[in-house]
Amino acid sequence: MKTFFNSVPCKVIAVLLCAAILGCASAAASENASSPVSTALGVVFSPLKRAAASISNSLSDFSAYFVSSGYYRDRVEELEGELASLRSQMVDYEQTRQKLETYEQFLELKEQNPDYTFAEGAVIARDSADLYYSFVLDCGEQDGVSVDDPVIFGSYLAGVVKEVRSSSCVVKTFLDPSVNVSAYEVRSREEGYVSGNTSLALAGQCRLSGLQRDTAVSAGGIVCTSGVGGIYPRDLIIGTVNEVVDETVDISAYAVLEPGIDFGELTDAFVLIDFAGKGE
Amino acid sequence: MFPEKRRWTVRLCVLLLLAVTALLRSGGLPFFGSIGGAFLVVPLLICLSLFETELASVLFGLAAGALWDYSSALPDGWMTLFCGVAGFLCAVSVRFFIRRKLTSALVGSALFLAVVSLLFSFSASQGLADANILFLYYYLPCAVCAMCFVPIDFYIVKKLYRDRNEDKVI
Repeated sequence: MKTFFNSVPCKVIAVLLCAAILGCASAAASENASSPVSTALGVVFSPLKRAAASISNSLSDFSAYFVSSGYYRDRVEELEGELASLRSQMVDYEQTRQKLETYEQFLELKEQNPDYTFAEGAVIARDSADLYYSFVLDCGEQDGVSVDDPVIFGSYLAGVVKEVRSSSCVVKTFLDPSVNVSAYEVRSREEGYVSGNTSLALAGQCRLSGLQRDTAVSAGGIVCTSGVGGIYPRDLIIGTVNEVVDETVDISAYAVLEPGIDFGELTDAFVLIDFAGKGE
Repeated sequence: MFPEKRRWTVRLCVLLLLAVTALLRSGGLPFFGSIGGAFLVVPLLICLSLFETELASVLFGLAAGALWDYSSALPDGWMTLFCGVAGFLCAVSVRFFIRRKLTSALVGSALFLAVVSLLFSFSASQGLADANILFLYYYLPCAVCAMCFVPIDFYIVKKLYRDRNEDKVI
């Protein structure tokens, strides 16, 4: 036993153990919680460790070639299903967001006009043979819609219901020459009537007729419904004035209007089935 | 002998084709836009009437016209009546005057498209000046676009109505 404790291996073991204990003590005492031994080993072996990790990753990628194709087929199907589900959620989200934006606009309108009663409708068909952008909404008699009900989008006037079925209605826009809307220009307070014109409708415009030659209406003015006649409520925006032109057939003038709505892009609208002053 | 069952199958296919064509009117066609879709139903109806009996042509015309009326701002029933009459006249013409050829389809389609264009121009406008503008700048291009589809419609309908047993059109 004495011989063992005097042998070289025993002394080496003792030195190593002391070094380890010292390393632990210095690690506990130092801020980095690492001993000089670990630091020295790290300096030597970290490049080797990096190389080993890189080799290990390459080997694991290589081994993927030996996995059965069934595994990948199942994985692809699973991912495709997940992708389809996420896309569907994305579509629902976008539709909900769009509806929310529309409802926010109408909430604002409803708060300003508590007497309005709406029926909501989505555009389900258009007539390509109609130059004046008439369209069909998916609300009808069963929703309380009747002929000559105004159709709005936000605070803009879109048109008027001309034909009603049980679950749908045909709307003519105010670009149609057969639709006339009593209106006034906001700045000058001059009154007239908005009507369609074929040559202007080709450019997507209409006219505010019945103005005097010395009218104060000018480009940039906003034209709204005046509420005269009881068909359209007051202060629905129709469009903005592009220019004022003297009439050729009499001594009046008319203003060329740019509608506030892009009728070709309209996807849903609200029908005003009741409001204060209707029919008066 | 053209089997009765096949005739009804063909008629069902044609009805679906009419429905799809009527639906295409709603949004317009790629490249052609809304001008391409306006009168799309007329060439198909004329081509179809060349190969069908008078009663079937009238019924197909009424169906096509009813689908047109659904989205039209014109008074209801107007296009239904017009398309029914167009189908009847075309089918009767085949019996007495004309043959089932592409030329007949082109002439018949051109005639009815001209009538439709003029009627739409005068009904949708106020005054002669407006009607001229409407006809020249909108409905005439619509009619020309619709004429481009006559050969396509003719060959589709001819293919559908070909009697495979006797290799001739029924």
